Amino acid sequence: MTKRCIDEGLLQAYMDGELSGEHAAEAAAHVASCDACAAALAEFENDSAFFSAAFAPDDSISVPTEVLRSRVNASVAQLEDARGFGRGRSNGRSFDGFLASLSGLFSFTPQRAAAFASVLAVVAAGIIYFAVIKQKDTDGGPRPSSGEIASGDAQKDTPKVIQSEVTPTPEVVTDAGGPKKESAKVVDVNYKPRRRVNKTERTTTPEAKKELGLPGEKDYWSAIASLETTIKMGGDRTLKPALRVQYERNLAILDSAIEQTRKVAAQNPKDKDAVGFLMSAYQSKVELLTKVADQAQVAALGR
Amino acid sequence: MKSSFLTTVFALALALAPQAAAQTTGTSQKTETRTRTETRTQREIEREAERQAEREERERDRQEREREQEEARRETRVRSAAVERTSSAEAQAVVSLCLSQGDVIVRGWDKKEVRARAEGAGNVRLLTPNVQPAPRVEVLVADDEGEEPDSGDCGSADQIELMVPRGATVNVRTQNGHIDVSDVSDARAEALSGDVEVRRIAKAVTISCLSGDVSVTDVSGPVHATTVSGSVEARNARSLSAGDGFEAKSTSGDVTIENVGHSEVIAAAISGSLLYTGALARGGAYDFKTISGDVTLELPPDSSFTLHAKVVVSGDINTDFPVKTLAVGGGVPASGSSGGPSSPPGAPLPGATPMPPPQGGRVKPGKMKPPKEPEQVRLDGTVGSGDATVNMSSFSGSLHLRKL
Repeated sequence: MTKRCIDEGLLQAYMDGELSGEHAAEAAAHVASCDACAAALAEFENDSAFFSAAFAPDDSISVPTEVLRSRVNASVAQLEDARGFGRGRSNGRSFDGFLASLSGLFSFTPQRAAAFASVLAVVAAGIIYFAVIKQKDTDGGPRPSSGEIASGDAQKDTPKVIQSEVTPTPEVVTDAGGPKKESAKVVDVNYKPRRRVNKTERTTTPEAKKELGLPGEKDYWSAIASLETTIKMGGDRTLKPALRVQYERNLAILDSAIEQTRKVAAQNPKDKDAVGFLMSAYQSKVELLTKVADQAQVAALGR
Repeated sequence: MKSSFLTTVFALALALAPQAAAQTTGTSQKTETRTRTETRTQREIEREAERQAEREERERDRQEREREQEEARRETRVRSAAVERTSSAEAQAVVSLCLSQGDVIVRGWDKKEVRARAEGAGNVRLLTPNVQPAPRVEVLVADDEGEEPDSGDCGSADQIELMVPRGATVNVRTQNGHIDVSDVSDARAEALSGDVEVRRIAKAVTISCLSGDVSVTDVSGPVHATTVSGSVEARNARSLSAGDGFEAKSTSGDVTIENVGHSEVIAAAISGSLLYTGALARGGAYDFKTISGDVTLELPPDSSFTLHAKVVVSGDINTDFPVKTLAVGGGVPASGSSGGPSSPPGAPLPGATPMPPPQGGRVKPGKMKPPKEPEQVRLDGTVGSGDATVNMSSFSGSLHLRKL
């Protein structure tokens, strides 16, 4: 007796245990009475056993999705506990939620503290580095590239460039080679040696004065030079020692007055008062030298 | 909660920071002003100390000079008796004398004679032309008794006393010795090392010293008194004509002028102070100039003059007189003590009234901003009706106008 055979899908469902009780009983009764369905069922069982054996190693490992799902669930539970929110609260776009997200950043864990300290250290080092570089630029002019810096003895022979900040008036240059020279300001091969000039020489040589003479000064210089020559001719007999001391002291006073007034007059040549003071000082010096020169002539004649 | 607290603190800091910065700036400005005032006062103190030191130095030099002269006198050979010579002379004779060593005393008398009396000299000769009475008398001194000095010789003696006619012109030159001239018409004295004192001179005074003090008293006519190392003091001088000038100069020393009636007065010093006391001549011109030192004028309260006062480098201008300012330049505020620390900047002068603005110019008395660096200071204006003209200038020193 044959009934209509069970559908293949029903047969697989029966095999997987997915049918309800009543249907499973009817399917079992039919398989018992139907050779074809029994043969089909046996074939399905053989296939299932084959694949089960093939995938047996994989079955021992936890499915990744399951592990991830459990971790996420744990984290969510932890997070919800920390916030004190209920499970049913939404992570909406409220301000409190925003602040809550921010405050979470300031909850320092040891790892976060270490990371923050590292960032601070890097920033501070960068600021210091750039500050030092800027200071060098301000003091030393252009910074040489590493390839241009001479070292050791070769530095002495290396040409130096007069910096733009150097004034035209020459300065006394010391010859002490030392570390300062090696903090190189060497930039170029245009060599302009500094002229070594004594400051007093610069201010008192007749040649220098003549170059910078104010109107009327040259006449005084000539007169003074002539009188000084006359005084020298008189020698030591010109004045007695005590009088010579006073003479030289007053000469120093006059020279100092000339220097001071000259400085101001040179800055303001149109200032009549300043120039007047200078000329008065010169005149007084000429008068003093004239008195002494007269005496020197007397002393010279008396020899 | 924590975030709200941080926000509040940050906002408070932003609000308070500008106020703190403003307080700091104000404090630093006050400190800077106080420091500048203290620096100026300190500079004045240092200047005065320098001048005092110079005065002491000059006094020491004078004492040293006295000692040298005393030693020179002691070293001179002992003379048995004073040597005296007499010669007739005109009332306006010109009498001259040159000494290398020794003091000179010259007195005018009513006789028409020249008498020379030398102590510590070997011989004295009165050289005159072959005309009697002699218009010129040259007094010559020799060390040795038998020596006849020639014209132009400068002998030595302990002391020489000359009696000359009151109307005589006296020319005296010494290298090492004092000169004392009185009661003559015209005194011309030149001392290399020694003081010079002239009194009651009728027509003119000309004095030149290298090292020594100069004193001029009760004189008439033009006066020219200069010394290099020493002070100049002049009292009671009168002019005989409108063109008579009065000039007193010292290189290192003070100049003191009192009751001088000349219409043209010049007082100058390189390193020294100037003091003028007395009335100003109507229409007179007064020039006071020193490089390092103060200038002080002590004038009657009713003085009338036009003032031009200037300090070039450093110093103050102080005045007791109300000055109608013509122009206040160099950033000087129109105050009674311009540049001084006690005067508030921009305060008006006592009794000052603004001048009508000159054509093409603007006058803003009392509105000048005080200078950042109060160095060059000047004051131009008038006191009263501006009869006389007073120029006061100091390169480095203060100017003072005081009421008697």
